Amino acid sequence: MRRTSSAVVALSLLLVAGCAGPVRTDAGYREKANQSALHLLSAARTGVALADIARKGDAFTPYLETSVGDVEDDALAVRSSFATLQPPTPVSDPLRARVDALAEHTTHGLAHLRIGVRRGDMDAVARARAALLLTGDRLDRVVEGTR
Amino acid sequence: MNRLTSFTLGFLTAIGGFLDIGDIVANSLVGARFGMSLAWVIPVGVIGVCLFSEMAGRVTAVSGRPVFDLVRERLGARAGLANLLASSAITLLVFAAEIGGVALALELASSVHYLLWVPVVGFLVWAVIWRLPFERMERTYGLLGLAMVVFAVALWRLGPDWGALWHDALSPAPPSGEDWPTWWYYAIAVFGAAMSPYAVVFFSSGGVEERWSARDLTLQRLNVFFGFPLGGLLALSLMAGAAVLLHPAGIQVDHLSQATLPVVVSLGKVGLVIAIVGFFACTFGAALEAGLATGYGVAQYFGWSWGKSVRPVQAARFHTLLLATVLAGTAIVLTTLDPVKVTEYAIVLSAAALPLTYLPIFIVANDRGYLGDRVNSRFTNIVATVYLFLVLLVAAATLPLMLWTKAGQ
Amino acid sequence: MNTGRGGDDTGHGAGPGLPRVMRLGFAVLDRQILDVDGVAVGKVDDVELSWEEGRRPVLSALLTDTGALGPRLSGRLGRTWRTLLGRLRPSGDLPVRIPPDQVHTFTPATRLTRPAPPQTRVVEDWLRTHLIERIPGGGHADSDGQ
Repeated sequence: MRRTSSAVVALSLLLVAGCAGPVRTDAGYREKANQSALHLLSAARTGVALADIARKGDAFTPYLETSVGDVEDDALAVRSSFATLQPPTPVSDPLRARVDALAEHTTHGLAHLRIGVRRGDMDAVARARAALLLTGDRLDRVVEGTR
Repeated sequence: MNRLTSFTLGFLTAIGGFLDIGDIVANSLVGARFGMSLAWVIPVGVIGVCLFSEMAGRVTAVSGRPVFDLVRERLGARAGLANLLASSAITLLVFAAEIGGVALALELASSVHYLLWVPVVGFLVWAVIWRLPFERMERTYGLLGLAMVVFAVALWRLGPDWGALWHDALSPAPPSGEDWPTWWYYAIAVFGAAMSPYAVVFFSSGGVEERWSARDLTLQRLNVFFGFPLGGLLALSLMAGAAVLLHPAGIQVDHLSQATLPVVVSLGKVGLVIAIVGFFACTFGAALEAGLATGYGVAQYFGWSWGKSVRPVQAARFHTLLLATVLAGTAIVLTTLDPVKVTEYAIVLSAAALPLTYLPIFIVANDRGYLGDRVNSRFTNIVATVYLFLVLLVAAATLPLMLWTKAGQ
Repeated sequence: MNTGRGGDDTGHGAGPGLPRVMRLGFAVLDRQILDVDGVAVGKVDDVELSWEEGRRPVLSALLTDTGALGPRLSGRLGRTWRTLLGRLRPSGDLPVRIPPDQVHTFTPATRLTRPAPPQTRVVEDWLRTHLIERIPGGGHADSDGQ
């Protein structure tokens, strides 16, 4: 019993540590950048799919609003947690700038998509889609490059 | 009701009732992230759940008592209590996940934030448990759950390269960019979702509520051996839809809305409506089952009078406990923990706790004192032993894998 | 002792022929107790044996209620359980005793020859009158709805 509870404590500590651990090496930073780019890619590509659905009139507005809002929240969370990471050496600075910029593009694209969907403005949706598509492809390259 | 109608209804209920929030999340998530490389886990899980559900159903039909009523008699007070506490804690987590799932489905339909739906859902779950007759409750949500067939239709409409899907399913290895421990971790998640132990507890107590006798055994077996595998096919089509549409795009499933994408892309508004109905029915039905399973387990351990077929005033402790369970489950979701994450933890922990449910069933199903000559056949025992080893292996591997992969990150 | 009464199964009340043997752990402990109307009373949480000097021990009572369970649980789980229940219940409250001559049969479930002792229903009754009865619909069984 006692062993079980200490295991539980150790487990929760490790899980907490795993979420917000500091990065000490450039390799570790690359891994974090890779993870962040993966999540941003998922959000951007979900946005593209939702924009297509919206333009074809294949779903109701509440669904689109909720779905875009979900991934927008994700992207914002990834962006802010990546921004708080300290790059261990100047070697990582270009990577930081790149992912940071793409995170901003993703959140902006999703915000424009949300606004367009809510107003029923299909031109805005199309513009947001094009922006997200481009951001998605760039994120894809970051993901491949940081593996 | 004649035999054929009753078989058809029971059979359809078994299909529709097979899926819950755990299956929806696990299969979509895994399909999006790992393609079809973990598809093999679904048949492994389905065979296991058929095998042990049949045993539990047989014990109930022959002895007239649910399996977990017998666990304390056979395992003793201490092992029984430890089992009860662990199972109840995990079932409560599953219950919370299902409530969250219902609320998320309602949010998709309304765009009203899911947390506002949670108290409403909690009340509805309690009200149905309190008032709706058992059989009607089972049938309603089981039949509505058939709406999930829309995912199979969507897969077919997406027109995938079936040969490539089949090929992926036959190459069980992580896709590029993923490592083995994470792959195994999600294999455990899919396994835990398919084996859902609370459903077996519910199934065997439900048999007592519906007053099964040895005469119902054949019907029950048909439902299990045909209904569950067809339910498993729905799980497979959730995974395949995500593998075809989301995996190549790099979309991961972190939200229920992403799990609906294959249906909306291929079937539009009609598909969306049916999918939301399906999500609602599966999660709501599973919330009822998980809530009742907690009540059944505790009441049977302490020997209280229990069940929906007696008047609530004659089972005051049982109904008080159900009320407390509903309140606790609702409170867990109201902490704003992400319901999808709660679901992931719930299915993985369910997988780790599988021996607690399946070992007692195996022991009781071999007990001539309860079953006479209807004990397990030699064949059943051989397959079941293999599964017990598997389940013990999973239980031992879960926590290390969870730590190693930081819960699948 | 009358046939069908619990005395036969306990092994001390020999009828004609050899005394019957019963294993307490197997046939009595942790079994469901049902009263004369088939209403669930609780589980056999412990058994009480008593004896006089120089005589054989006799099964003097079945104990039921969750308090009686505490001493049977060893280890940390048992200690926690006892502490928890000790806080919850009034001190000096003893477990409910059911004398074996009120038992009709022991297996597969313990059936009594009379209604359950009132102490076993304290919690159930309290919850019923203070909570369950006050919720609309509490008096209806499932089948009433159809």
